[in-house]
This record gives sequence, C-alpha cells and structure tokens, in this order.
Amino acid sequence: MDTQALKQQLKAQIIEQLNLEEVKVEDISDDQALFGDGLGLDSIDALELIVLLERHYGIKITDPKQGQDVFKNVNTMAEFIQKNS
Amino acid sequence: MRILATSSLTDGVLRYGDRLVAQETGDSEGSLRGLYHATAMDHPKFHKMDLCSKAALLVVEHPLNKAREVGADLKERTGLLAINSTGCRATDGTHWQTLLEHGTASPGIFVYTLANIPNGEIGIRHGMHGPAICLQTGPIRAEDIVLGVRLLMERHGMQHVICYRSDIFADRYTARAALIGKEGEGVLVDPITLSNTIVQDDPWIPKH
Amino acid sequence: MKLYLGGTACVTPLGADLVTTYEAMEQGRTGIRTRPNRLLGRDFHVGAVGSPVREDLPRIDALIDEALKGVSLQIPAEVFHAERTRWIIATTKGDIHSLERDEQGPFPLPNLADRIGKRYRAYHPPLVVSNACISGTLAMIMAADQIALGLCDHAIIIGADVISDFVLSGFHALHAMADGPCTPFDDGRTGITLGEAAACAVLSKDHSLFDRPVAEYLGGGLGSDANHISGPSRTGEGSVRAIRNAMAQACVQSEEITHVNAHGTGSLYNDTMEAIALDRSGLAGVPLNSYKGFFGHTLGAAGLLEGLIAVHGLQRGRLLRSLGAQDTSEMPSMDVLKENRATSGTLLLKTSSGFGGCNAAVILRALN
Repeated sequence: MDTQALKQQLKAQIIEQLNLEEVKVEDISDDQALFGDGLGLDSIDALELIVLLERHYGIKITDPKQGQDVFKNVNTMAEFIQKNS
Repeated sequence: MRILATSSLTDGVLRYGDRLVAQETGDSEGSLRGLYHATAMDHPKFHKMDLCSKAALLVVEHPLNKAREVGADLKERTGLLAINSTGCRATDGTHWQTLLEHGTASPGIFVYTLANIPNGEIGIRHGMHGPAICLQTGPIRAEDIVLGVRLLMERHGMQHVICYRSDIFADRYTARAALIGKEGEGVLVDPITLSNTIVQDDPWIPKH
Repeated sequence: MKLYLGGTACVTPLGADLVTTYEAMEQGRTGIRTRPNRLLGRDFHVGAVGSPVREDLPRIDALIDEALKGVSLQIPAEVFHAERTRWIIATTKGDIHSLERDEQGPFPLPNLADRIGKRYRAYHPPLVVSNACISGTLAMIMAADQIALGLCDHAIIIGADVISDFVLSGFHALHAMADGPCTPFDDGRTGITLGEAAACAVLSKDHSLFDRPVAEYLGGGLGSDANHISGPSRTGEGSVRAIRNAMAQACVQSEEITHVNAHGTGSLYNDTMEAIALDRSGLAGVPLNSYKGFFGHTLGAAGLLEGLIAVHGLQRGRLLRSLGAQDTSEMPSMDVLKENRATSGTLLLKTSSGFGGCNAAVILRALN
C-alpha cells in the first residue's frame, strides 16, 4: 500500500477505534497533533491506538512510552507501520 | 428533603419532569446519539462512553441545570447517588466478547465495566468533587434511595443530591433522575413519590 | 454515639483467617505467585487464595462463606438474622466467572446479594456497594452512617472479589500490570498485581455484642477527583477531600494519626497522587504502608481487608513494612515503612481510591 493510502486508512481506523463521532477523515491532517490541543485524545485513547496497531497491523507495542513517539501524528504512525510490517 | 426536579429517558424518549424534550428512534446506540444532538450537549467524550454512561449523562442534564438555577454548590456540596439493577452487565458482555474475538481486551471498553463509572463521567462533566456512591439492588427500592440521600446529606454535609438509575438490558434502556435538595420548593421526599419517579420499573425489565 | 468494630475475619492468599494472614505478613511472606494464563498466553503474578474453599458454590460465594464462618464464631448467631442488622456487600465484579461460564443473569450483583442473604437468613436483603476499588472502605462508611442515623443497630460488612480473566485482561490492556509482584511506593514500581480475598466485619453500637471489639469507628469521608475515569487526579483532589472529611467527622487532627495504611496499588500515578494528597493533608511524616505487596490488589475487598489487618497490627503495637518498597527517594517527605516497627499509638487512617475518580478514607481507633 502506498503511504498516502495508508494514511487515509489510518485516519478512518483512528476515527472508528476511538469513536471520534464528530471528526471526519478530511478533518485530520497528516501532521496534526493527535494528543494535547490537536485531536484532544487522552491516555485511554493512547492505549486504544496500541490495540489498533496490534489488531490491524499485527504490531505489538509493549511499552506505552514508545507510543508517545509513534502516536504524535498520522505521519509518524504511518512511518512506524511501514518500518515494522 | 424535597424533590426539586425529575427527568426520565426510556427507549428514545427524554422527558424533563412531564415535559417531552426530545424523541428519537433507532437502536439504543442510535437513539442515544440522536438525543445527544437534540439536546445540543457539546461533550465529545460522550461518544466514547458505554450505553449506561450515555443514558446517565443525558438524564442528569436537567436536574443538574436545575441545581445551577437554584444556586447549588455543584463543586463541593452536591453528591451523586447511582442505583441500578443491571450494573454494567451489557458492557461486561462487550468486553468479554472483544477479548474472545481478538485475544486482547479493549481498554476503552474495559474501563466501563465498573458500575460506578457513570458517576465519574458526570463528575468530570460538571466539575463535582463531592461524594459519589453507587449501589446495586434487584428491584430498585425507594427506601434505599432515601437511605443514600440521607447519608449524603446528614453524614457528609451535602445540600443537594443527584440520584439516578441507568439500566441497560437486551438493547433497551431506561434512566431516571432527580435533584433532591435539603430545602427548596418541591414535593417532600418520601418512598411513594420516589417510587413514581426514579424507581418505577419498565415492563421489559425481567422480574427479579 | 460510639461505634464498635469486631467479628473480624478474612480469607486471603496468605491464610484462611486474620491472625494467620497477619502473622505471615509480619514475617515478610508474600502470597503472590506466578500463574500461567491460557487465554492471554502468558504468565501473570497474582495473589490467589490457596486454602481450600467450597467447590459447590461460585468462588466468590465460597470465599465469603469461609470468611463468614469466622464471623459466626465471634458474634451471637441471632445478630445474623436480626431486624436491626443490615448487611452490606462490597464488590466490583461479584461472580464474574458466571459470564465466563455463560450463565450470567440480568442482575449479577443483586443475585449475589440474594444468595448471601438467603443462605444466612438475613432479615433485610443485603445492599451491594459497587464503587470500584473504594467499595470495601465505602461499605464500612455506609454501615457506620446507617447506625449513626439510627436506621439499624448492627451492620455485617462483607468485601470480596476474585481473580478472573475478565479483570486481568482489562488491566493488562490498560498496561497497568506490574512486571513482577507489585512494589507500592517504591521508585521502581511498574504497576499493580491482582489478588483475591473475602473480608468480613461487624459494626455495632453495642460494645457488649463482642467479647472484645477490635476498634472504634471514628469517622469516614468521601471525595471525587472530577478529572479522569481511570487515572487519579495529579493533585489528589478527591483524596484530600476524603481525608479532610474523615478527620472532621472523627474530630481528629492530623498530628494525632498514628499510621496511614494507604491504597498503594503500585501504579506510578496512584502512589504519587497519594503522597501528594497525604502531604496536602498534613500527614507527610506519618508512618505509611501499603499491603498490596503481600497479596495484591483485592479490589472490592481491599479497603475492608487492609483496614482490618492494620487495626490488628496496632492492637499488637506493630506497624508492618510496606513490602516491595526499597527505594523511596522519589517521595522524600513520606515515612514509608521499610521494616516492621513498634508503636504505642492507636489511630489509623485507611485510604482508598478507585476508577471513576472516587476516594474514601476512614479513621479507626484500635482497642486493646
């Protein structure tokens, strides 16, 4: 899958996994911060993203701290997935 | 002790006192989402909650608005009393099925498998630091509600108590709430009045 | 009105009664062992009850049954059935194995209460308190409050929860499980360890109900964080309020407190939050411990079980070490007990905190 398609797919998966009811794929830009002021996600969402990577991409993150770098934005997530799958 | 406001929410019909506020059709998930939009409750976290918390959050909106109107100290002197029969049984099932299906649990589902979480969600939304109690009984008994309210007022210094039930069973739900004040204008709290407001069982709930 | 606590009993990973459990702890033994988990495909450390219990009952009923046997040896039988006695059961998940067996009825926790009420011929149906990890402490508070308001004379308090794949998988998904046995208040703590237990006690306005009451209940308090449903307030908002309210009800000043038996789960944020809350409450220098290093987090049983053990220690003039706490330099103002210590004081502050941002505290005076 090319990077652009992967990013689009990721955005849809994030919205579904985290029940971001009022957010659409086109509302999330590739470099928008997912946490903090960006999408306003919290610590449980971070753990849900770990579950997302495991279920959809077979990638396990055992240390939530590692997640902090991976889940910065959609770009960093896509990069991580491409490196590890 | 007086009942200052009541509200009810059953299968898509939301009432503040006797007044019909909104009506939505669809399954539980869909009708609760519809009511969220109908009441313009700007609280995106709502969509991450389980059905029990969603119904609880919606049904206590009116009693809490009334509490603000009568000048209640929501932060420090308003307690929460949750009482229900089914607990978080519906979400228990979802958590367990997710686990069996994927081999891993979903943290965002698991946190809702504690019966008192709706109290936490209400407290967060409305900035309430007072006591928050969660009781479970088979048939809801008005006496237990009176007991809980009295403990919160007479032993823990609360001036107001939001008491509510939120029961989910087999894709149906019922939630009822009341604002009870130590003083104020409203009907006196007694088991019979409570029975007609928050206790009242819906016929679809299996008999205990 | 004075409120007396007695008829204390428990079944824990360290023994089938309170004295055995306490003495194992005094010797520094732990009830935590590794156990393979088939569903999750790995080993976990857990504090499981090893002593035999009835197998013809759901496990939680069997643990409660065993603990209540201990109570029945200490109080007159008629108290179990009296109209002036109220029963309160504290549990988070009750017979959660029923879900795994695919036998869960519509009212899981009320059904547990019904079974217990019928088995012991309780006059009133037992009330279930399901308030996450403060359930046990809250049950004690609600028992005391009901007696204080004259609604009953005696209360039989039960706290119980069992280890299950249901709960284990959830905490695992939250990345909350410790790498080894939990080490509360240690700088290197990595999370919680799950345990199981049943604890029981009787609270009464009648001193004469007991041969020897173990403690006087002085006060209890509650407070909420209003912050996050699974993470504690960084500033201990709810805990500070619970402690302050308990001290006010007990008419006790912070300098009078002998000992704090904290919630101390071993999770990074909980233990830090508690240190902050205790500091804010003027309790920084008071000898502090958590028992969870001995048998894990027993959830709905925790507050009651740990309170009973702490009172028993004070009756013997002992404060137990906080097992697993070695390096505590991260909390320099806290006097975390690294060795057992003698004391002549009697005033215990027991604190609990739980998901949903709930917090509870009680103050008990151990009686000699």
